[in-house]
Amino acid sequence: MIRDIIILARKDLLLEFRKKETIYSMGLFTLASILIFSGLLNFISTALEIKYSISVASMLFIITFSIMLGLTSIFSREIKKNSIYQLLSLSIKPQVIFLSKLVYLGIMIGIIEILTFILAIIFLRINFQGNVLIFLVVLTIGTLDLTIAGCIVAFLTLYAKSKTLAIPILFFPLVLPSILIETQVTLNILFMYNLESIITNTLILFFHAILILVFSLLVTEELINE
Amino acid sequence: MDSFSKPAVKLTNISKIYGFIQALKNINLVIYPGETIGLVGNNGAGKSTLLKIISLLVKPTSGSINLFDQEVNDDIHLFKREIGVLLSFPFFYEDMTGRENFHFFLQMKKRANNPQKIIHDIIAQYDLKLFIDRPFYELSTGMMKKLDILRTVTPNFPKLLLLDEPFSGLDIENRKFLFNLITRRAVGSTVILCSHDLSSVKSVCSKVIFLEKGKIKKILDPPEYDYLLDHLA
Repeated sequence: MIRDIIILARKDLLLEFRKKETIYSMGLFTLASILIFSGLLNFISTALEIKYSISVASMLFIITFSIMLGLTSIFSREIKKNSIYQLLSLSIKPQVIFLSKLVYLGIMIGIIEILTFILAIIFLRINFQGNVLIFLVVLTIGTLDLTIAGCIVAFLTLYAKSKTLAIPILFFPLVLPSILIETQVTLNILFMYNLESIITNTLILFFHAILILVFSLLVTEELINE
Repeated sequence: MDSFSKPAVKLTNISKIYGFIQALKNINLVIYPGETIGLVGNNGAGKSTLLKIISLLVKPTSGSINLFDQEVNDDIHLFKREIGVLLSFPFFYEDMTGRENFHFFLQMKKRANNPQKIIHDIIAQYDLKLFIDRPFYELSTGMMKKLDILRTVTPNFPKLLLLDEPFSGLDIENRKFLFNLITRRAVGSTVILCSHDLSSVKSVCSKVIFLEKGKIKKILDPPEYDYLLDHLA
């Protein structure tokens, strides 16, 4: 099963990096957004804490919208020529297809997050005052949560005619609680460092991710069939 | 009882509804191993839907499917190992070369132990040297189809091969290649094909199923094939 997931995800990555359409659009969106936010923050004179809060919120905003850009193309290679049958003809469980798309999307978002944080440190002048390791753990769990939610939305809209409308309608309510919690916990790590609150919020994010993952794996078969 | 007397495909009361359209109505069908069956009918008769249901790509709205004398249950993926499918559009990824596509599909087929060697053998056997390393979208329609046909029979001829319009877009040479492939296949393999090309269907099929408005109108043996000339638009 793991072998199949790797082969499928590798195929998607190969196809993506051959044309680089999605990664370029996600990267350009990230760059443009950070430049806009940094310009805005440089003009307003307010307390440093508020500036940092806006910076963290803007980073998560950028990541969420980058995921959305990735979602519209996650099945584009299969659906644009009605060739979802390519995947359906393979002797694999539908859950393998879901997990391979999850790995693909996770890697794409990982690349975008690295870019976002490098740009954020440069342009938004974020200073780490907390523990970097805890920050990375929280970020990983938060990203996993958003990626799983994104992937199930991509499956839900697999056969949708107006995908660009359907994706945000389904995606935002699903990830809004996670984004709010992640913003809180990131601020906490960077500036306040209340460990108890960090652990509680991280666990909430983790269980949210697990819950959506279990639900997704249960319904994948029904969703992938017409 | 030998394995040839057990049906390769048995459909019981298969119906399929898409929205408000009933594509298939109570299809009952038994096909034995080794048979080459043609599905014919006018546009919208339900040929492709029936083919997709037998190949387990589409779930029927009602009815049951038995393949290789076993009821198709939750473990659909296990049955798919024995099925080769060719639809009216190629399964290959456009931005990958023929070699990369073959490699991908062979890796996904659990029986392919040495994909590189298999690809090497196919290139040599079917003279694909000039095409195999070009992106798939650069190939001619006929060459795309030929590679797609080869995908379905690689590494081994499947127990059940389903072909949707296999002759369309093929030149005379490639038609011969497909005829040879079907007629010289492994003993016991079953082929079901749907096509509008009556002369090709007549020359390769041992039985023809005539579909009309989602129902089986008639099952014809070779001497009765002229019936089709009067009933197909």
